[in-house]
Amino acid sequence: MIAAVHLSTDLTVWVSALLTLMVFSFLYRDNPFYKVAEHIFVGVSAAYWMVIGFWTTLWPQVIVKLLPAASRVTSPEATPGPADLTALAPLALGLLMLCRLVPSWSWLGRWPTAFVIGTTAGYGLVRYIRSDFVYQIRATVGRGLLPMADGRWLWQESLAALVILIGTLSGIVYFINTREHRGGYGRIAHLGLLFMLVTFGASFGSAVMARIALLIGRFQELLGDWLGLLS
Amino acid sequence: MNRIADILVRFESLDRRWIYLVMALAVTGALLSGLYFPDRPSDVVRPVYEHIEALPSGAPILLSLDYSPSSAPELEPMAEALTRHALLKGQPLCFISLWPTGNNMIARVVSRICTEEFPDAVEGRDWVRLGFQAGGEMLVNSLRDSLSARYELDMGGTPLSDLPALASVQGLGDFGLILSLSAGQPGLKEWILYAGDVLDVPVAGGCTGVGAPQFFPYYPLQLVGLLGALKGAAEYEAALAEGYPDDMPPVMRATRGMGPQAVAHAVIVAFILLGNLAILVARRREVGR
Repeated sequence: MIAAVHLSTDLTVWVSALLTLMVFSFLYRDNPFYKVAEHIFVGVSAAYWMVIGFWTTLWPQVIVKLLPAASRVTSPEATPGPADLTALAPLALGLLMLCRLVPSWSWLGRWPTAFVIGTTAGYGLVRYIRSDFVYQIRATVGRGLLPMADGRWLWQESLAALVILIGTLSGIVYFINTREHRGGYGRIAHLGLLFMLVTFGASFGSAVMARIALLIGRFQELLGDWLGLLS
Repeated sequence: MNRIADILVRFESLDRRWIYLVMALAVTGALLSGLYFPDRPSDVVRPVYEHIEALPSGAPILLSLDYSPSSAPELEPMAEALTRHALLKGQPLCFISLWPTGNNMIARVVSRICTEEFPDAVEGRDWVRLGFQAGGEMLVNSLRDSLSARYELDMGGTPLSDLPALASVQGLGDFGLILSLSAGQPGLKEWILYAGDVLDVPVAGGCTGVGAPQFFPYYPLQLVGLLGALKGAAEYEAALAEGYPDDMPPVMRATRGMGPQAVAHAVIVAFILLGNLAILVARRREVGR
């Protein structure tokens, strides 16, 4: 399926391809091309996030709410409603956050941080207990060790449930350090360690697979979109 | 024999740049040769396909593209396959994102699939772009009861009340399925915690290979199914090819990526084996002295 080279005429494809090659050049050794690409990436990312943050958060959530007539800037047909003064609260917290830039006022920046952390923790606690604790216990032991369907014993699911149960319990035992890991108790803890090593191995394998997928994506763009070699 | 051992020992101190070069050549060769391996949907991927197949006609699907360009090679093929499926099946699709880069990701999928492959599909009726809003999990939380709490207009400036695709939708619970393609936080986990587990609305998703081990424990109790990495996307494409053989391109994007993926893995395994053999031979020589 190899086609003749057909270079792209799209400027964005050229920029993307050249930046990719500049970053790849780091694999040989550090060099000015890589540094240029790195600085462009950091600068563009910061600018992009700032612009997106302004137009998706500051503009609609603060400026338009406090000054409804401003909505005509982006939507000329918009009918401005009354001002929403509740937007002053997040505005004040946001301004307090900026106080961290002034050393003598930086203590004021702790208030919005405390508000965000407190709210998120308080709200998340309920959800995490439900989804990551109660539901996970149910998922581990809920179906029992002898799942049946239509009067048939599902031996594969039964085996999977047994492995999950043993893995979970032995993993917990491994992290209980108030008792010395010796004898039978130590062997259970060691089994927990083995389960974790297998899990870490699987995670590492997945991470490698992910990185290779990203590499393939770049090569598909270089060989396909840029050089036109892929049919 | 000694000569082979001499060559093997050299691998112990092999400059890593040779490995990069071999990997680049292997991936390039596999891509240029068009090598691919037919896949089949696994037990974790198939339920997503079957759930969409079982949805009543017209039941809308929420598709949240929670990733950035750096994860697009893994997650975009999933987005394309799921979009293709929803439009073929006639399920209105609502694009949303918890990531600031999401609007561009939505634009790419809409351009490649909705407008190119389905020229008869109409925005507003067959698919809707709501786009990115800040807030992460708090956005999900506020959309539970009412989409209009945070989205007054779609990305094209049309009021939500004027979109036929969302005529039956008040809040998140009215979707037939919530799908999140997630490269991190906020993403699939937030949709499970703040929407699926609270409203009992079915949630499914896709994730990068790095994130997959984190999400498998949620299946099958809290997730309908999971598409893990490029492999998951290729499996979903296989399910689509089975179900809609006449409407699918001969080889889809993720399936095309699996050939180079397999070759790259073979290269890695080969280097691991050679590296270990090198260490064994070197140790044996050390003992022999």
